[in-house]
Amino acid sequence: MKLKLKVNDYDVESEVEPRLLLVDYIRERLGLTGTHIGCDTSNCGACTVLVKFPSSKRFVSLKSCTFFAVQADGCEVKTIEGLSKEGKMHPIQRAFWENHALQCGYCTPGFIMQAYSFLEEHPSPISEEIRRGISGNLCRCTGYQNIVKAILDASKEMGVV
Amino acid sequence: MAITAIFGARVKRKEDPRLITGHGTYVADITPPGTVYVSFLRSPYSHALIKRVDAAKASALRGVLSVYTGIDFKGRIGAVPTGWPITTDPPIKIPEYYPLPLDRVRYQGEPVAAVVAEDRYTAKDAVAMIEAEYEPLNAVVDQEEAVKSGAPQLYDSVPNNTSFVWHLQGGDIEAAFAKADTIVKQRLVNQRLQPTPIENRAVLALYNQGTGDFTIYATSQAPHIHRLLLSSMMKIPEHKIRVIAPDVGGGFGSKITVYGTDAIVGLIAQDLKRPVKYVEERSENFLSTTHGRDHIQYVELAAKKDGRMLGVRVTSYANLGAYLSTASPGVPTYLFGLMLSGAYKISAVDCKVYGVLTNTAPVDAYRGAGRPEATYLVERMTDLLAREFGMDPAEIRRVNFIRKEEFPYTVCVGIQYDSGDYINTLEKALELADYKGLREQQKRLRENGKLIGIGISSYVEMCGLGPSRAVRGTGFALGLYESAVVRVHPTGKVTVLTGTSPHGQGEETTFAQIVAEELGVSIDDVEVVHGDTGAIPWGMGTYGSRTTPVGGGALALAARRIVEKGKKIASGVLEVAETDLVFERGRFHVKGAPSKGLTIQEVALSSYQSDRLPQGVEPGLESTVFYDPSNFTFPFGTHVCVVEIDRETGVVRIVKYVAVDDCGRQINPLIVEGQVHGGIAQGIGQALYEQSVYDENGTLLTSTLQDYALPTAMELPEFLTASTVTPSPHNPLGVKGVGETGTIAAPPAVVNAVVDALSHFGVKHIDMPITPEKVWRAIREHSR
Amino acid sequence: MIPMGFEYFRPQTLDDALNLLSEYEGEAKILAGGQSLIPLLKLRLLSPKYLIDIGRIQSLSYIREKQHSLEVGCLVRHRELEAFEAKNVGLQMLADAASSIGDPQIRNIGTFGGSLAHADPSADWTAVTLTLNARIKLISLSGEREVMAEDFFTGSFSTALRPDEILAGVEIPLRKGRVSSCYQKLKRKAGDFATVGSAVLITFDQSGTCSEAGIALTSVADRPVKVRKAEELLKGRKIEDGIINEVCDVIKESINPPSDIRGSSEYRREMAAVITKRAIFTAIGRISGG
Repeated sequence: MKLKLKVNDYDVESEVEPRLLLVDYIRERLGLTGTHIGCDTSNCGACTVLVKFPSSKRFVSLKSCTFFAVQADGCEVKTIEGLSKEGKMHPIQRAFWENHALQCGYCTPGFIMQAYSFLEEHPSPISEEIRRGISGNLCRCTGYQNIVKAILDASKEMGVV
Repeated sequence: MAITAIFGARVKRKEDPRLITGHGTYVADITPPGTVYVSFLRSPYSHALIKRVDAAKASALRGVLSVYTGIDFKGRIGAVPTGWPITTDPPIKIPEYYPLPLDRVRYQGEPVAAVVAEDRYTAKDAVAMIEAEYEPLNAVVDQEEAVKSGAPQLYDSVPNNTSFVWHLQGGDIEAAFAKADTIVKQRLVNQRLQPTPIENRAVLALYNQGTGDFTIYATSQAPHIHRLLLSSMMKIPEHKIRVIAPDVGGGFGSKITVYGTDAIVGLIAQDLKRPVKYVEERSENFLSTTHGRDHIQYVELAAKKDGRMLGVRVTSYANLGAYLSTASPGVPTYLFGLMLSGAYKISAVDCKVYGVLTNTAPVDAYRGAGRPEATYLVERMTDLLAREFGMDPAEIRRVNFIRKEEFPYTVCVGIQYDSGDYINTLEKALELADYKGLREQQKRLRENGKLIGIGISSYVEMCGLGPSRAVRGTGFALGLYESAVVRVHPTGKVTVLTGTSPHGQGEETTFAQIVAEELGVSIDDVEVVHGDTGAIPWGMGTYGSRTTPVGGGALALAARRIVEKGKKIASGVLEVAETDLVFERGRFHVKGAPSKGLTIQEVALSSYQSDRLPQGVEPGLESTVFYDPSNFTFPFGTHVCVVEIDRETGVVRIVKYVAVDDCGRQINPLIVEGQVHGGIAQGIGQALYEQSVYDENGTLLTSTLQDYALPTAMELPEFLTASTVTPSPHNPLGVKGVGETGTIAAPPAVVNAVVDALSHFGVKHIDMPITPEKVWRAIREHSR
Repeated sequence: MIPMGFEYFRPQTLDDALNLLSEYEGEAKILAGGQSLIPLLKLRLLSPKYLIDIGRIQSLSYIREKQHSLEVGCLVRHRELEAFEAKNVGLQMLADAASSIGDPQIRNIGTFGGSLAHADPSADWTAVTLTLNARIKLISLSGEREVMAEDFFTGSFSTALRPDEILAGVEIPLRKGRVSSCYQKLKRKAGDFATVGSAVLITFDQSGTCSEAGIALTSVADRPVKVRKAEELLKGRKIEDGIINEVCDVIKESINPPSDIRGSSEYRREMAAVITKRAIFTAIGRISGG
């Protein structure tokens, strides 16, 4: 099937099997290996990317392991690789770095993309809200504390106009 | 030791930029041209004879290159070795276990056939087309059932499924029990867990037809050990294999083990002469990557009525799973038994461990590896004893602690704790938690029918594995020293080669900090290389909290040798006596005449120009050290956990968690905190949420992340952490390691808190994981 | 975890979708958000030959608060219902239930209708529709029909949906007067299926007496359970401790929950009563102000 979409602001056209999962399309067909696979049952969130549907104005986060590439036809997709602009890190990425919010780094792209989505909807969150906002992402290394702090710091930096 | 700003500084990690921008390189990310993919057919039965495996239809599927079964590797593949055949009498029985079984499967999920195809989707389709027939056999999953006569036997060579009976004795246990005023008894379950690194295992094998060399990318915690064991399984000489662990997404012990699947993938690469990749799915990880813990312990603690503990007797049944894995025999024995006196002056220990095989996934090291099981035992029994005597749990610990002045302290089983100040961390933790206030609050709330509990856990753990003599004495196949190469380049930049293999612990940063400190260079000028047997002379890997004390220790010594040699070179170039030179802040200069000197960068260049070197000094500025520590290291601390229990539903909520840990000197407090957070999170996971559950047929009921209850950010509290610093006297840097302390300290802190909350009902103990239902039942049973 | 192959269609209109469904009847599955369906496909528990993606059919995505009813189209995402601020306080349980489903990413994509058609015995929306006496709208080429929620769920992952039908939307009758509701879910951790869930709706008359009650449970059987006996018990009574205890007893007698890794039958039975009680109190608390 023909697939036409925008990934990280680049227009892409591909021929795909309908059953090709979006995460596999991103990783194997487009070579964007920053998005990771950690489970089979839509729990870990390591595969989280942002998608904007044609009918929508906003990007929403979704688990790309539970979405077919063909469902993203006509959509815009943003992956972790698309977050930094011209080599400059996004405030969320900087905040993760400053706060030691990652250890092995495997779950990190998923957390960062989810944080992005969460902060769009909750620009001035408190810790509890952040914990709820990232409850679809699993981390086995950090115990989440520094991730929550990073997102809090990022929200403050992003809130400053 | 000079202390500059960089050692001990909260430096941002050097490894982060690539990881936070999605440019990390994990094994699954690497796809050389021509890569083909392996998918395994796995047994649905936990114990069965394999009657027939017919791959005709699968092989005919377009895109499938080959299908392998056990017969295809017969004679060609070696048994999966265990690296820790512990010394027992009678000798340990190690069943022969092959990567692809010929005629019998012994755990659910055991690989039975391997499909190789052009892409993963086709491989998966082909697996579904393989026709396999099994004759199910009776299975046994519980270790106490497995040792009984009449139980299904896994191997003819291992009667009663008992691989070994291990016995450790220290002091005079009979005398201790004879003198006791009280003996507290308890059956404790340290439940089976699934380590669950977020990255599943993966392996990519490349074979060079011209040279006969293999390059194998693996999600490994110890590439050199991986290479050694692969060499044995694949029957390929060690020097023809290169193992590379690139970025690895967590391991927690489950990636120390070398799995049969990796050898299979390697041999397939040799056959097909194309890169061959296998990426585990999560359900495969849960079914066949090593599990952790799974001890059933019968404990007796003898004490005097003033609270002094005299002796502890333990009989433990350790479930090892269906075969012995890389380190599995040593984990429930030495790493457990040696720590049974905990932080206390218990003068007698008697520990018997049955190592039992069952129709379940193999069990091996999981963060803490034996020490969480020991600490849980000691800290639960201490609380039970306190309760027996009506003593405050903090007080009974004070009574029994080894005192600061008594270190180094040799415990009754013979190991020597290097340094400690247990009372200090206890008092600090109690103060931070406002223990007095909490007890008052508890009293008030109880009057209103509300349930809060306070749990204390004072631990000491044995890590920094380890002194080779001691380790070899336990039967471990190799010593546990570590290597470091410090290579200063002509331009003065530094490359470090470490035999450790970090996968999240941050050594690309902390090791650069060590070198920056020792050599007076910028950490930006230091590159830390790890994980590649092609680059690194030899290494024993990362686990057992050894990377910092042993790997870092080797590195510090190597860096100091660089300074020694640098001094010699500087004396040659400056034409002064070596004794007239000092080295500070990256510069060699004449004592009292600072202007007459050379930077280390200038010395480096000189070493390569090598025209003014003193007699006997070779060109170059590089040193290699193999450091064999003289002892283990013993980090310690106290954690305090406060819980609130919903009486009606039994739901436990942690409302406060305080951790005071002492890991000796800290290279980077930011990273130390991170390790403590992560360890506590896993410890809380064990205490309240996680459990690997097999039904009586050996079907794993927790084979997905929907069923295995890994905590999210909403289940975990904020951790209040603090530390004290009691250096290790024998370590070159005074560091002890901290990676496992949280997992060791947290479970008893949480369980003690829950039991404390329910103690006025008469509840004495609840086994982990303390689910709401267990709490609810305990309240009901005791309210009747 | 890779699905078996299938042919994929993305019709632009509902009619196109129905035509396809009719053509491939029995061999096709409807894809809405896919958050329940795709995991099953990946586990190969289902392998339809055809997948009909209705996800872009705008006419199926609506929330219309009318005078006597709330109409919710099948493609409404859980997230939208989480954020929905109903004018009618009785609809508070919609936000309660929505916010308890899965996790943020799943709520962004998963749909209300998809969840209902999937009919997981531990789902959240199913009990809610029972309590609200919702009417489920089913459409096929032969026309439209309505099925009451209590007749819709026929068993574990089974509904009254025919192979040629699409669950187009749900109509929720709005009660007059003082109404309040609450959905409570007991679960092991965030993102987990319910150990038990209880959806409670109470309508009060002028004197503060309960004139009508809706009580339904999830994860206590192979389908959601409407506890009529408990509902009848509350009718015409003032809600206080005594009556609530009776309601709890009735609930415990009315169900025979399964045992699994999330809880034993005994525990679920007790908890069904406990969280229903809490849902009732919360519902009352919500309305006490006004």
